Amino acid sequence: MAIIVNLDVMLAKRKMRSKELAAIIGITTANLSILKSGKAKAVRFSTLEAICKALDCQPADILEFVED
Amino acid sequence: MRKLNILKTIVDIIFIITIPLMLSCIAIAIGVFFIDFTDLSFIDIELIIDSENYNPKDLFSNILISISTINYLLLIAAFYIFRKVLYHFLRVKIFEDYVINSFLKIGNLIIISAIISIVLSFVSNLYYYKSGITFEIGSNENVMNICLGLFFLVLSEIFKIAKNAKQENDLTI
Repeated sequence: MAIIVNLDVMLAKRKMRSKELAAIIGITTANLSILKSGKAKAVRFSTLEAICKALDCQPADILEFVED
Repeated sequence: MRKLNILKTIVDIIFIITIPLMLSCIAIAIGVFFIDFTDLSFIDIELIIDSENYNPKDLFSNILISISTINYLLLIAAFYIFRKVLYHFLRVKIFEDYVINSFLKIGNLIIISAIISIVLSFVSNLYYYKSGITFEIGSNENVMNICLGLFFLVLSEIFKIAKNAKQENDLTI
């Protein structure tokens, strides 16, 4: 996939667990796992906003474009 | 879902009624070559075959009857698959590969059955009445069946698109 989700890296930087983030942004851990593994087809702006708010970062810190 | 329950009940009843008909179709398709169905006095059943030109000793007539009964079985098979699809709908398993494939099968079966019917009527007209190709304008049962079959094929395509949309929706976080 061309878009890489660097959520793991940001979580490690903020020393936060996936479970905590899921609880803060209001999604299930299963969905967060889908997002982290790159299986997600799309991310809602509202989810992205919540993640950015919770991790105090920019969307570019989480999403990265890599050419195939 | 009440409408679905009503439909499922009606389809179930029709299918149960069709079971003896299906068995007799199989018996006729095979037995037509061995038994004279115009004279069934030995089993106390009066059977009238709706063709004044039907000759039980004529092999071609028997083949035509056998094919038309097998053709009827194709429609029953389509009906059986439809019944199973309704069962899936009741269990809220809607946009699944099974349903898509079933619609595809139903459509193909109905279209094949309609085409066989058209060919059979053409061949029997040619054989019994020595008449050539006849065109009918109006609501023909075979044309309606082809439309129904195509409708199921279109439905299968639509369900395929819907399945992809649902998958995409499920993977949208």
